[in-house]
Amino acid sequence: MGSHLLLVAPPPAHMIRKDPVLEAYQQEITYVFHALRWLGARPQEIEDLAQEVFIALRRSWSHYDSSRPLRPYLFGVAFRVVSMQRRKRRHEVAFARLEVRDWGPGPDDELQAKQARAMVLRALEKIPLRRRAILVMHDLEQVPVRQVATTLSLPLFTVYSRLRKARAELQAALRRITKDGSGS
Amino acid sequence: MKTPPPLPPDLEALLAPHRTVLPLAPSVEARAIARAAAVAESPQQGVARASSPPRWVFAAAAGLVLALGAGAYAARTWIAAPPPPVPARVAPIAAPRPSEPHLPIVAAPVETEAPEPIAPLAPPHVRRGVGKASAPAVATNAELQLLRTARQDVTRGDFAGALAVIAEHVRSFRNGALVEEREALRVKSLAGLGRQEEAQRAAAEFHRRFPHSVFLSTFERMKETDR
Repeated sequence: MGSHLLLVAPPPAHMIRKDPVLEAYQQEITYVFHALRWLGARPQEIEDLAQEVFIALRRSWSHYDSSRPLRPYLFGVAFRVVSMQRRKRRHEVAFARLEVRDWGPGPDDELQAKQARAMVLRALEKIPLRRRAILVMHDLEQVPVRQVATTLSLPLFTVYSRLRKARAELQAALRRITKDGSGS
Repeated sequence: MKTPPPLPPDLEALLAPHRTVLPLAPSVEARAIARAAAVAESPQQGVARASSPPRWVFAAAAGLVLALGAGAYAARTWIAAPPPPVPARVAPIAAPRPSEPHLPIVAAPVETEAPEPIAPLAPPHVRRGVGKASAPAVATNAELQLLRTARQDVTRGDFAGALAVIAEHVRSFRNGALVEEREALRVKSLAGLGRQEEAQRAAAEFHRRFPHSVFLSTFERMKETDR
């Protein structure tokens, strides 16, 4: 009886744009996927995690200071969602090998860029999430350290020390990957 | 320490190209937004936690409900308790009047509480909606949008994506107006992914819940195609 309802015209776009959180999410949806990917979410989980980010964003929206940029705040939400998911998953599987799937259109001539991204992602996989998040946020997203500390609710000094350690771990991991690649 | 040391040049060279945010595939983006819109319209999840009352309010309310329930139960038990056994009332023996016919002396019937009538059970697919009096009878735009996305995924062959949307529909519109369509799409998606056993189980469940559905003929055709 209801199947014919699916054939009617789609609802007007303005009907799903009224909500400010939804509007912000719509504007930054690509960034949410980007952040989740760099935080080490598995490709097959990213859509579900993005949905979790949206739900968490709705709940915490009243804490967001709209005079500040949204992206670092979103990154913090994404970090918490991924951390929670890791805790849930800890007893299920050890740490699955990262699959690299491109969400974008990706023409073939970008193969090299994709390979480079895959290598960085594999190297980042070796860094524990709490340090990886800081490295991605500061060195990749170029968020100032002070803001990283505020977003992740960490002391400034902790952010510095974790960043230093994460960089060293990333370099070591990259060296290992390059060595393995040239060796095989 | 004001700023951290700059990134070593080799790391900088490696990370720099990845600072751009890559665009999403349109279908992925549309699906993600449709799922979020469904949550935004869903009354259960649409409330911000910050504006909700603190937990102790819920705990107090739950305690009050429990106390009231226990009190009501105790009162009902006390009221419904059978009275102490009373000897059957016996009609006083009196000499029959000459004008009245001779009546046998009988014990007056003791009034007993009539058993409460038991309401007939609704069929399973109707009973599922019980308790959600406010469940929408007509599909909302969000529900419609969500299932349309799932249907498009099935048409495109993205069965895993369709299952994700279906799961979202379950979360947001468990007893929505389009449950029948959702479950039909689930069967198709499972079959499309080659998860035959699960598809068969889902089809059997569908048959049980919607014995007169028009989708059943589709499943039959799917089975014949498989053979």
